[in-house]
Amino acid sequence: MVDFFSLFSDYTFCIVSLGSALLGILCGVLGCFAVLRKQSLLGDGISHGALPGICLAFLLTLNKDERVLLLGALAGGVVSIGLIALITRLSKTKFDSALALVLSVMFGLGLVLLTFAQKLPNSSQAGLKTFIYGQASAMTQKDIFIVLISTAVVLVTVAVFWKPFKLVTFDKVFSRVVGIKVWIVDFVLSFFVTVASVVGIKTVGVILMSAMLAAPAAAARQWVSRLETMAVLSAFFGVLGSVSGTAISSSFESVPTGPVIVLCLGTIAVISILFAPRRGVLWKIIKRNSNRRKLSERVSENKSSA
Amino acid sequence: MMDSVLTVKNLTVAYDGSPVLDNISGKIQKGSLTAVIGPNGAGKTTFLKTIMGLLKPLFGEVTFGFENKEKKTKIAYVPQTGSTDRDFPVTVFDVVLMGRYPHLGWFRRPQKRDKEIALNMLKKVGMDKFKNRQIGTLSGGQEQRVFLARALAQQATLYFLDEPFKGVDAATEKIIVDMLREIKNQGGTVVVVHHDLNTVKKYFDSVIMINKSLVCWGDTESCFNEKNVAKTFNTDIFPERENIYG
Repeated sequence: MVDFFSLFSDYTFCIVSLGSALLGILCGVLGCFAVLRKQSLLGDGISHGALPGICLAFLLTLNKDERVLLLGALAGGVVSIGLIALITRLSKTKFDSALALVLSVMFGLGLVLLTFAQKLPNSSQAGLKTFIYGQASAMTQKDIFIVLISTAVVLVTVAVFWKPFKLVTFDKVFSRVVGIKVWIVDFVLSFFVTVASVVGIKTVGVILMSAMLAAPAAAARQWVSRLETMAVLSAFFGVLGSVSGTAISSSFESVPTGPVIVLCLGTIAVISILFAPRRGVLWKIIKRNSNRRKLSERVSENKSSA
Repeated sequence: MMDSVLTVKNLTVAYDGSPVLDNISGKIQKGSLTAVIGPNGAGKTTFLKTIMGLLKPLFGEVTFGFENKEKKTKIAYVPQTGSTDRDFPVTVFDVVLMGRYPHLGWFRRPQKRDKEIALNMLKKVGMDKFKNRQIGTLSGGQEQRVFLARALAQQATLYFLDEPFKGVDAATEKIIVDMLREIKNQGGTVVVVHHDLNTVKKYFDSVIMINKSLVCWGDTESCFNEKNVAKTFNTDIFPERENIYG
């Protein structure tokens, strides 16, 4: 495995793995809140909504500058969240249905706009398509900087406002009784998930974004039973999945990084679901069998003594 | 005349234009134990939520025996069991410590004293042995006791409980009643949404009987009688309940 270790002296590999590791931390921590608020798919809703934003930004400005396109993505994500909130508030439609509706309609709109954009003579595709599947290998220092700033802002905010974030996620009614403005916390968390999704599009793409949020958090929940430890472990899993995914995809020729990262995160989640103590599937089977054995021994003892 | 800790004036609450609570007025005395009684859908939980400021009344006002800005520390609330996610990654002790949050504000971390108070309240409800357990591993009655301990840790003056006796066993019921009496003895005030008509006389000194509009608000002695119960529940057949008015 000489190849594997020589990776760390490779500049592109270092940039990409640093960027995806930071993204892993960001999504790992936010994913805990998203999963516990039963909004694991919110990231998908936002990222799918980002596609028409990106295309529209390009169509309106004819500018290939990434910052312009990312602003478009952010706007698209915010519009999606707004639509979901509007639908759930004004009608009795549940969150999951509203999400499914907004997600697919926005993505459909994005694909239509993408066709228009690609017909423009000067587009030469403008790399718009890379947003759908992500293109981690094209990550630059500038991208790292954006991920770094977003991660720092989110982590500091979450650490400072830990108590209200935890309380609102656990018990909204109690939070309101003790004077916390629940809608502010809701808004901030949703906005952070939007930022994370937009930042993550470049790495894993629109379609796979939810895995970045859901997988590390769901895996971490299997091992620990406190939100504090869950957030730390989830961030660790995020880094582990991102770096190993980057390493694996760099070891083979033309294997896309984003999907491999998602596969690694998925593997961590599956291992956790199967083998974690107490909550794991295997542990439950062993426990059940040993209980059954004890019970049948006791029953046969009773029989023989009777 | 004792001080009133809560005054409700002409309170009217409506969802989509049709009234759920119609013109309710009354006072709750400091140091009283009050039961809110009424049939399903009578607006009992709405009544509690409006008083706590979670719902906006269409008309009328609610005033407290303390400043409005003190509300977050002086009002404690025990929700119905099952209103939170049982699988949430939080320990019993963490939940009780949340009762200290309103005293700490947005940023301050719980101090040694807050932790002592939380542990003390857990002892009072007989749940200190479970302090490191994840809440999902508790039974319904144990969960109710933990949420009561959270309210106690808040050291409030006015406690609202939404059906605390629902689905709990006799031992838990006794612990809850003992705690409510202790709150009262220390000068606190308790308002409970209550369903068991058999224990109204035994547990509570005041009642609020509602069925969208107010039937009677006053001390149990004068309010809780056959006539008012029949009016509240829209039926006069309570054959097995002859001796509950005592």
